[in-house]
Amino acid sequence: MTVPTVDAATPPKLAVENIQKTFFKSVKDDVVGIPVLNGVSLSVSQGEFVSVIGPSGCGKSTLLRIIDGLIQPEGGRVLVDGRIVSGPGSDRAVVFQYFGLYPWRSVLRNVEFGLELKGVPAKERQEIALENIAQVGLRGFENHYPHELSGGMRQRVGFARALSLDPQIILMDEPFSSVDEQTRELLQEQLLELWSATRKTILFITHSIDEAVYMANRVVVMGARPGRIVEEITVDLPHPRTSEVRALPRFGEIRAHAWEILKKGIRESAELNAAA
Amino acid sequence: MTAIDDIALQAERARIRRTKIDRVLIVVCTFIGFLAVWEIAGRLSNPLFFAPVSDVVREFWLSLLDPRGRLLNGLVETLSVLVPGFVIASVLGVALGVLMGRSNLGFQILDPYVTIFYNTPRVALIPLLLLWIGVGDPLKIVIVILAAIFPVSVNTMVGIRDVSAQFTEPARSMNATESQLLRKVILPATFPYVVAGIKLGLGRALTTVIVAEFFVSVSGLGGILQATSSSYQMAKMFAPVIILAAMGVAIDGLLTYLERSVLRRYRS
Repeated sequence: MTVPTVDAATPPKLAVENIQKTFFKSVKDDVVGIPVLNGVSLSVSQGEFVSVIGPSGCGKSTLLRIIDGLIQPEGGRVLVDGRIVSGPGSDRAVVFQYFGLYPWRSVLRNVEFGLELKGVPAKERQEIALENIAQVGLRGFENHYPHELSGGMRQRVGFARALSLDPQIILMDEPFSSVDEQTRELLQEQLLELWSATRKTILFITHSIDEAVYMANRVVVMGARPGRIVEEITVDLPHPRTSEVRALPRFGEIRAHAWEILKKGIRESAELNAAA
Repeated sequence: MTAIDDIALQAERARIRRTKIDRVLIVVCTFIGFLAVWEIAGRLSNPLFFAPVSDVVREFWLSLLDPRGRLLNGLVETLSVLVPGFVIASVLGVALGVLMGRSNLGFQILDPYVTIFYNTPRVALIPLLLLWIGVGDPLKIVIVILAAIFPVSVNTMVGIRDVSAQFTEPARSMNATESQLLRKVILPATFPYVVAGIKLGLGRALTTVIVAEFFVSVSGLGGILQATSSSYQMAKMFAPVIILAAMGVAIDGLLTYLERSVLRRYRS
């Protein structure tokens, strides 16, 4: 496993150290433990865009929730700027696959939500929210309700809400998997633009190899049962990423390589299961 | 737009207009027929047991015109126990539902009793409560509360227990406190369930208050029904029935409007 070397004096933006996670399940009259993550370590520097891919059930969404502090691991720790994470914090924000919007709140009030929880005064949080709504291209939709928006627009509200909290790290859990193909490409472009404009550190979980390679500086490939990191691939494709990048031979090479590793991981876990 | 399109459009408009007119005609004609049958049946039958619609409408109109009359006083009396009783029942019902939905201990302790009360016909308690509380408004208010509180609390509880992680997880991720989670996420998410509980509870409260008035009131709407029917004043007896029917329809309409306007947002 390759871990990027980091200057000892400055800790990485995000460090995940040897995470162990087990889920417990009732079976008949007993409880069994199912290992979900086994010794996952990862280091992400400031401003990096890191994708995580892996077969379903490899625990990538669980890993994201542990990093956010929504789930506590049984072992290991998560550090942001060298400080141990003990729960959710305003230095991290999540963009959910299911958007996570509140249907009784307008776009504006959804984007304001995190600021409202923090106790930011009404006028100030409205200003911040309006600015971020404009940034994701939803000006004019402030007073719409989620049920009036398309999937792609809803996820842009999700972005705006995350951005409003001005986090240092944005954790994205398969953010584009519930929108259609064309919308997905538009959202990918928009996210890359936002990333280069804000230089946030992004951890991006996806099940699409193409998306993982296209978006990131580095692709982390996970294997399943128990979830672990199989390999990290550096994506040496030029920026800005535009649709031409997808046509480069190098893009195809990296994607093929990622797929090989992913396949190996799937085979290995099948063998492990057969042996068990 | 071509001429052919235009002709097709006109034809479609005419068709929609005709369907609308047809629908109104059907409703109006059947209603006139219904009134005619009522009128004839009323004139042919023994006046001790039935009244023609013309008499009913005249009595009803006269009662409405008399501001100090028995009917309007009865309505005020019934509403004066129904409204406070129902408000108390809703507030307590939601509180009880929150307690049972949020606390496992609360659920384990309260659930058996709530289940028993929810399924006991409230009117069966009237004679017992009459003995304990005596005749008067407090009795009727207690009856209304008992009728309405359990549908509200059971619905609230189910709603709270059903709140999806898709609502709680983002709030937790944004560092919501337990109190913020309850006020800003769980309660709003439960709102459609509470409305359904209120709809059910109001129907039960209305029924129960009328039955209670059969027992203990001479002047409420239930009392008037009881008094006029036992003295065979058929035309007068229909007046409170009309008012109750109107109240039921109005409440249902109001809550349906609420469902259409606010709850529409919850379905995506």
